[in-house]
Amino acid sequence: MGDKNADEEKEPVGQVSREPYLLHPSPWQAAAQETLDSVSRLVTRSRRDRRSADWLPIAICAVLVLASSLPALNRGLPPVQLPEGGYRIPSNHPLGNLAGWPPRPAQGLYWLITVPLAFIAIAAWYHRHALRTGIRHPWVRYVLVGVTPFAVLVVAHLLLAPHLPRLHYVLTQPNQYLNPVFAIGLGLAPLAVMERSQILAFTCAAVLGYTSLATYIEGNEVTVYRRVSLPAPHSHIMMFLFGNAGRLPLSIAHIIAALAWAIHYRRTTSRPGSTS
Amino acid sequence: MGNPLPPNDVPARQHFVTADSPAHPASGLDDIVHQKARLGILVIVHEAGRAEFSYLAQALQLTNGNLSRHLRVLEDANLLAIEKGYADRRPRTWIALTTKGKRALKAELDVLRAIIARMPLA
Repeated sequence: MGDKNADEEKEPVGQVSREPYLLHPSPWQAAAQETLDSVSRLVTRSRRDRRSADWLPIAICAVLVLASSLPALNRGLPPVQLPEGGYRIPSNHPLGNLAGWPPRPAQGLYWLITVPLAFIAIAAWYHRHALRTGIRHPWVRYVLVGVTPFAVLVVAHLLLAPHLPRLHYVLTQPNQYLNPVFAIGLGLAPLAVMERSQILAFTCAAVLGYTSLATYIEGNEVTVYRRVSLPAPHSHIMMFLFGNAGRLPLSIAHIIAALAWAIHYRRTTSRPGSTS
Repeated sequence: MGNPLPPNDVPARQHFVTADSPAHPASGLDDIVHQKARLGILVIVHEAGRAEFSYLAQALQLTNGNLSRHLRVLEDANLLAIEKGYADRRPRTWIALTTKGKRALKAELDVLRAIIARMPLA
């Protein structure tokens, strides 16, 4: 009797509606329902095992962004208050505009070195995870696809600029969407699709959304006051949130999310009977 | 006496199958795919993308010999692609789904859903 009640409480598969007089399924239906239930359990287990590695790419992305924003805390030039009201963020900021290509060679070198290394580390991580768990990730394909936005960025900045200044200007000014942080966000997109991972998709959307908004606000070098239509005192908050130092809360939030993800999966995989 | 009776507005039960009766959805089940262990293999490999032999054996609680036999059946039907290699000085067998395998799995699940959705003879 208890089993019967348990069966009745299960969610119906697909768009099946159970009329009151259909609560007693035929043997065929009961067998099909049982098979689909076992299929659902296998899918849940495989998906959990596959996604248990997703926290590291998020953490690496967050650490890269965090490290890039730390110098801005001490060396950021103060915004210039304009006589007509509002503030303007100077273009000669130590790290350039938030979303802009770093104007100084050392800062450019930072992204040139760390981003490829990050993708190699992610690939090695998935390769190791595949050997340990028995679920292989298409990491070679991912690295090729994931590095592409950054490669496009480098080519656009290094090769196009001398030869095609007009195209370079269109790509990088005034919104300057071709920037390292944006490229990292774009690089996470194929990984989210390949892994069918919601948390990776959310991370990717957060990075792209935040960078786009920051680019919109800061990239044009217009007054924050006018752009966001906030009273002057609140402009400071907006400038912090969308300035170079504003990458801190974004990256710290991602690190926390990645750690929570890792702890969650460690707990579920170590739970007795959870692997069956 | 203990059997619940359908309400009066339920259509009368069809007692026999005529020539023009629609085929039962179960007639669409593929014997190769419908077997419990083989269906489990296809489901896991589809979800994982590519799974290793030992992972399948553990997840489905099958012996190596039993799993090998099921894999051979699925490979002979061109539903699976099996790749053997070495990693960390250990032989590894990776199993992936073919396009035909993906279609077969989808068809199987569609049939199962159709069976459940089919109104039983009240």
